[in-house]
Amino acid sequence: MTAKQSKSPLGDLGVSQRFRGKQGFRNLNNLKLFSNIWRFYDDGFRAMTVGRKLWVVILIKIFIIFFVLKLFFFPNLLNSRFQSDTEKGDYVREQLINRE
Amino acid sequence: MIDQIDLSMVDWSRAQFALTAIYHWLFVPLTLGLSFIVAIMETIYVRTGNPEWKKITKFWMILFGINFAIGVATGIILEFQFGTNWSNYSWFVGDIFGAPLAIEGIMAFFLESTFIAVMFFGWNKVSKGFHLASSWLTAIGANLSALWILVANAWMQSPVGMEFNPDTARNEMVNFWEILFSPLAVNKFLHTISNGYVIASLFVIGISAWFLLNKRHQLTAKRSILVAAIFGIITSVFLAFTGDGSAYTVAQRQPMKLAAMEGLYEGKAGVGLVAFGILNPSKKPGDGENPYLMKIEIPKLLSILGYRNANAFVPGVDNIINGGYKPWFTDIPEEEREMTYSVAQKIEKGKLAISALRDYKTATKAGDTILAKFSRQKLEENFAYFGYGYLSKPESVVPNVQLTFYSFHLMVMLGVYFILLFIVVLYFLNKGILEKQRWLLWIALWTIPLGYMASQAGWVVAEVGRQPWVIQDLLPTIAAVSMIGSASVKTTFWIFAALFTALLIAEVMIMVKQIKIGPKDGGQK
Repeated sequence: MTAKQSKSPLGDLGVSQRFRGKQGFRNLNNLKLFSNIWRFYDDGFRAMTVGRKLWVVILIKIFIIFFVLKLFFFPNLLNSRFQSDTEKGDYVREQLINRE
Repeated sequence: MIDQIDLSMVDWSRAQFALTAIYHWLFVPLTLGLSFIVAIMETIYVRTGNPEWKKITKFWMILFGINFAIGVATGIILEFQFGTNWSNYSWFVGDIFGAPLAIEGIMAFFLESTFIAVMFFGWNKVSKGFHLASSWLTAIGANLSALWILVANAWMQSPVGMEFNPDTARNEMVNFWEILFSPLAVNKFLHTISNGYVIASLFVIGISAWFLLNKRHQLTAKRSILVAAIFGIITSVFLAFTGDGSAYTVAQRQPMKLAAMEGLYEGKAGVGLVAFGILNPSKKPGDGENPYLMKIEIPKLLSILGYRNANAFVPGVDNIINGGYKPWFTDIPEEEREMTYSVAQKIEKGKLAISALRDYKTATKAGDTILAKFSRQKLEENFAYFGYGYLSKPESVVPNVQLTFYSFHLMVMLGVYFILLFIVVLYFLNKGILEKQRWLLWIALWTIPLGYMASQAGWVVAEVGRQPWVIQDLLPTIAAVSMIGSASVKTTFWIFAALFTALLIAEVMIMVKQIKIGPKDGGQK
């Protein structure tokens, strides 16, 4: 009997062999769990009013912080100049000695 | 070769960090405190089943969400600055900073952000119990975030639990628990989070007072004031208690900061605490002038605060510069306490440590194991004074006394005022006549910014009072800063000023709009 011919809900969903038997039951529960979680967030975001404005602010802020400030103004000095920890350590040690 | 440091680079880097930290700290305390107030209100709702409490909870939750959203990620810019402007410092601290910040990110932030979604999206979708648990876990997560960064900051003020590795030029953590549970870290964490709780209480009372002044949502307002005033009294007393603990640890570990906090130049046994004072603006260390134009002092109280002994000797600025006194360590018997070195002597020891590091480097490169061993030993013997080797004169260890003194006293005076305000508000609320005391309601409303002022003043004490040190005794700012030009630092300083001001304006506008709308039955997400 194919999934289509089956009267079980699994057949109605057109769900594959993955979701049959004990392991299949677990797999189906996992799928339902992820589905429920997704629907939870989806419903939540869709119902937002003030939250939408806040998310626009958050996204603009994060874009400016990570893609403008970090990229153009805040390179990690040691990472940009040196490859290895040994080189970085030697450089800082020189700095500490020569700043006296 | 002695590298010439652009001092304007040092000053602009410090200014940039201060600006970012001040703005960051405008958002954080309200998150710390309002999250708990919301959790308390929701607990009342779940226990009583009264839908009015649900309405109250949802209203304050929206304001919490606005503050959280605007403030999130503002702290990350401070970490960017470590890597760019303070590269020597960020390498020197090694994994002392890395471990706490990593834990902060992984544990606390994920705890917060996971359950905050349930807080806002989960009404009528999850059980009351699960929703309530999510609210509490969000509050706990927010406060746990604060723990790790404060542990890192406390380590800067009193470096413990580490050993310096001259091969890598890094401090290596050898005792995580000593860092986590250092007395300074414990006090700093408790004092800082309770500061957030007081600000949140003032915020709730102030906004609720506005509702009462406008005769709107009076039941919501009075119930909110009840919760916030009780929470405020408890946490403001705890704030005073932890402030005392902080002063005690500062006296032990950062005596110059304590001296600056009190404008104390010539120490003595049984020193009084300046309750109110005006400093002599032309006072310099060692000039013999009176440090104060006027002062009102509580006898012996500084000795008690600093050393739990009314006759304890509290060193002043001049004593610390000149040395030659026995520090009053309560955990060391007097006969075992050694005379303190003068700063000039510490500078010599610091120079010995730096030259030992130089010799060690030369010796290891040349394969001279005997010289390397000798140099390493000399470095270890003098490492406690490493940072002094960078100072040009003994007076360099004196922070800005005026700024530290006035910030400390402003913070304490406001702290006492907040306790009184909570008590008075609760008294009139209990009498059922609060809404008639329009003078008090206006005071409560205008106290909201005073809470922030006290909070910022506290950080000025902590961070200006520790100057010139980035890491107490081990690394001054002049050795910690990167060798880059000041032009980009100046540019980003103004970018930050504009960005954070825009964020602050956005937050205030969105919050004011929501406050004007007021609590609704369904609330808004």
